[in-house]
Amino acid sequence: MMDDMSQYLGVFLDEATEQLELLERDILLLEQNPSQELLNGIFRAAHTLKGSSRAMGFTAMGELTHAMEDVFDQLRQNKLTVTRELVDALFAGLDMLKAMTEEIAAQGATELDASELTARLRQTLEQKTGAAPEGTPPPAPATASPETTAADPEDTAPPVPAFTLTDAQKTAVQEAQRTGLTLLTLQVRLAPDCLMKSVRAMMVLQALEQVGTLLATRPDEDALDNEEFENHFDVLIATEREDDAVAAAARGVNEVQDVRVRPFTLPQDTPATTGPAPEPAAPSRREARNTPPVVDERRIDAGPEARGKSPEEVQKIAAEKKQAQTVRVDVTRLDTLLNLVGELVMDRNRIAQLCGQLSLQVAANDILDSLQETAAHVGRITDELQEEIMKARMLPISNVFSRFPRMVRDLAQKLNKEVDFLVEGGETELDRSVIEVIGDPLIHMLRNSVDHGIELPEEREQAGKPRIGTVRLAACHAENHIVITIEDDGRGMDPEKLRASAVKKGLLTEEAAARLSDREALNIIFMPGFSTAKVVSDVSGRGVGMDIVRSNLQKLGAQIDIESRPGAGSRFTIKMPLTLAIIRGLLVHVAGGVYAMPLASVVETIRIAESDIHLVNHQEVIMQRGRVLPIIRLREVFQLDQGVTPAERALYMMEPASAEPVMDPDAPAEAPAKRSRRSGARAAQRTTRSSAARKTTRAASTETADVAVVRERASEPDAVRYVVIVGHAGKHYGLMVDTLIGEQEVVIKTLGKFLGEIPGISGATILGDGRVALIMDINGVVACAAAEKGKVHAA
Amino acid sequence: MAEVVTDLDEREEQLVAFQLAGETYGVNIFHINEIIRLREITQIPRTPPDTEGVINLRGKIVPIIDLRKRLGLPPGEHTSGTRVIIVTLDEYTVGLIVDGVNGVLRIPHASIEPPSELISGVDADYVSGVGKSGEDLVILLNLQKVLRVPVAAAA
Repeated sequence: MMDDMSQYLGVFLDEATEQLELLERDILLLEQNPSQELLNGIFRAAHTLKGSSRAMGFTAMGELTHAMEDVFDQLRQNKLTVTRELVDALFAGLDMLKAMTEEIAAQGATELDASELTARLRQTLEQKTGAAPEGTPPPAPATASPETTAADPEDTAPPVPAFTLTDAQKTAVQEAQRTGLTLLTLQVRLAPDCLMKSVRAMMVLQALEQVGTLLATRPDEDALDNEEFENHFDVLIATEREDDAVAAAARGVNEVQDVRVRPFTLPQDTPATTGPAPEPAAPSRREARNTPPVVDERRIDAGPEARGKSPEEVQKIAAEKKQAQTVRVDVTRLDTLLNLVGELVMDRNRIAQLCGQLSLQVAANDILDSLQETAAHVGRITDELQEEIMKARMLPISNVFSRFPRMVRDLAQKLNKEVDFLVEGGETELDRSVIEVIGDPLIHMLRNSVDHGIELPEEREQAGKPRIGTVRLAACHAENHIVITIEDDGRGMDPEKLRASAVKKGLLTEEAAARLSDREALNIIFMPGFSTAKVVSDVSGRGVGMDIVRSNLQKLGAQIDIESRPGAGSRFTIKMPLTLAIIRGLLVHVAGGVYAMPLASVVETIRIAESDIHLVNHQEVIMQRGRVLPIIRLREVFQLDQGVTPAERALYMMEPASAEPVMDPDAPAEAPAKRSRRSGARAAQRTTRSSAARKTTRAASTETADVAVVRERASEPDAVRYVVIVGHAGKHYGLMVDTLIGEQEVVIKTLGKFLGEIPGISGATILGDGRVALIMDINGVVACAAAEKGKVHAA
Repeated sequence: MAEVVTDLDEREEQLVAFQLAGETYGVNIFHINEIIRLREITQIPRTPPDTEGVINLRGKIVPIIDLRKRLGLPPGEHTSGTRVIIVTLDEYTVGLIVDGVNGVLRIPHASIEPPSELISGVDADYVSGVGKSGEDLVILLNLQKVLRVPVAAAA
């Protein structure tokens, strides 16, 4: 049995996950602003879920959904009101359903017991609705059956032998005719050996919903749900499509043997409707599932609301049609495609380079011309291909954001806080590789905002603020990056308190803490072992600290910036690349090797003289626009001939990334300024194609890696030094390189498991000439430099 | 008859044999991806001394280790015979620099003996056995040990 079902499991799980997400979102909206339209949607989602889980044999899931569906039904009929307790109960149910779905996904079955929850929901129903007398209209049968959770009264309804339309359905039919839609009956015949008839039937109905509006089925939908039919069933549909298109939609479902389409005409004896005004037919499919009188009642309830929505319904249908034009692609296939394009990008670079070399050696001729033309064309096509594939991998960030409102709500409730959670820019798209990893850090930061940022309502009132705190999560694109901001209007962070706290915890010396600017002091929260909460709550205390959050984000090439005003709130700004596969990098030479620095971290490049460098407190610095900029000589960080033992290496790895406050006493941090290049950095001038960069590569590679230069630096005060200013943790550092090569798009390749993590290096890329360049991890470089300093002073 | 042949096959080890500091070593052919000439290696800072760096192998980044250094043998010059054997074990693909490659050898299991004190200079941990091919001794490498990941092992 399970084997037979397993082939539908994927479909079922996809659908269930979708419906659960929908339910969660809508129940949350419901709590804020109940509307009939919303309830209809929720009811439909619950109903679909009930049907499919029962069809798959997950009875417990079906029962629980059924109980929830009944609650929604009562809400819809205004017999229940939305209360916090009710929403809590529904969320509890939802969580259970999610857990069940996960278990099913993992092991094909679920043993979770939902009977208690089901009973709780039933109880809610009983209490709230009182004992609605059974059998007398207008009770909905489902809701009026608190005595049993096992038997759905609708289940027992015998299959209807023909299209006996309810008045409401007739109204819908007439309305459809009036608006010029075609009415069709479809006779769908399933293959005789079809194993999961009800699943197939549901799939057919879903397919048909894409092309029109279902008005009725024969037998009714519950009978279809429960497999109470032979191998065929009939569907009445209102559509603006051709017969063939409708039939094709149904035939598209597996194991559908035959579909016959006939026009439908309303029997003559139908009196013109005198009841409620005509309304769009869309909701009728779900409404029509009960016995006629009950359906009528429900439709009247739902009518006035639903009627006003008709333009939206139209839009919805249009959206559904649009959806039908998309294809689901396995993500591994997209990954493979991107890898292949990555190879192509590298070969493109190589071909361009070879063409350049050839043109220097061979006198101009036609073949060379066409070769160069072709190479240029291949280059353009590759660029476009890369762009398109990157786009295909993009997902709206709402995929991540959608799970936050619920979390914030639960959290606020637990902490007795009142929080208005605003989400903006959910449509902002980014690569799925980023989507996968951005969720956890954001969860933690949001928890922090609610837990530590937002005050209790009473406190807020005392401070003259509105009772309800606001947490705002927003995403937007900025150049080739995505910027995510998390903002709250809570108590903010007091630099003075942070300093004191860091000293008390032994994270900083009093002296070092006093030297921090207010802005730098905010970064104390990212120090390992720091937590501002007076009491470690089970909320933010759970899991990781902000230090881990920051280092995880930095691994993704993200920069975090904090702004905060005591009493007014805090804002965290995360800037990160749209993809983890390809980045723009600044290529530089260091000690004979070519390195790529993620452009996201680069603020500007400058040229200085050796004599500009001063030694302050064992730290080399330069003055730049009146500010002190610590200098890190990358030659010393990346010297090659010095072997490192595994033990030493492990030491580097453990070095906390935030040793830097000690290194940099006075430099006031500023928000990453707009990248401005000085004339001294001519070599790094932006090049759209990297041809200019490649020329400099060749020129620069002739330069010998003379490590002795480093040792004798004091002896040549006029020597020109190139410094790349990078922003790291809200501070700027000057990384001294041998030469600047240029800006280029680099495909990130992992160094592989064998090498593991290497301090200061996050990966590698392959250059146009086939050589390997290492990608710098700015975070690691700064940590290495700090560790190096520590070693020297200890010695 | 057929059964006997299969039986024989199973009792045989197919190796790629190579030279290292005057000795013959062997690695099961199952782990060998390919054998290439030495090419430009990009050095990586802050890696152990036996890690030479990485190469670009048709778009893949492959780390290279100097097998002499890894096995604790005296350093040697790179010659025209020097080769890089690309091996894969589980998820690790690594290039091993060796003095030269002899070819494929078949050694019956029966003639393979456990590592003994006979092999001087090489940590017995790196050796899974010693086989005889004619008059020659072939030291069978324990790739699992040779390809250890220092950091992962420490963590």
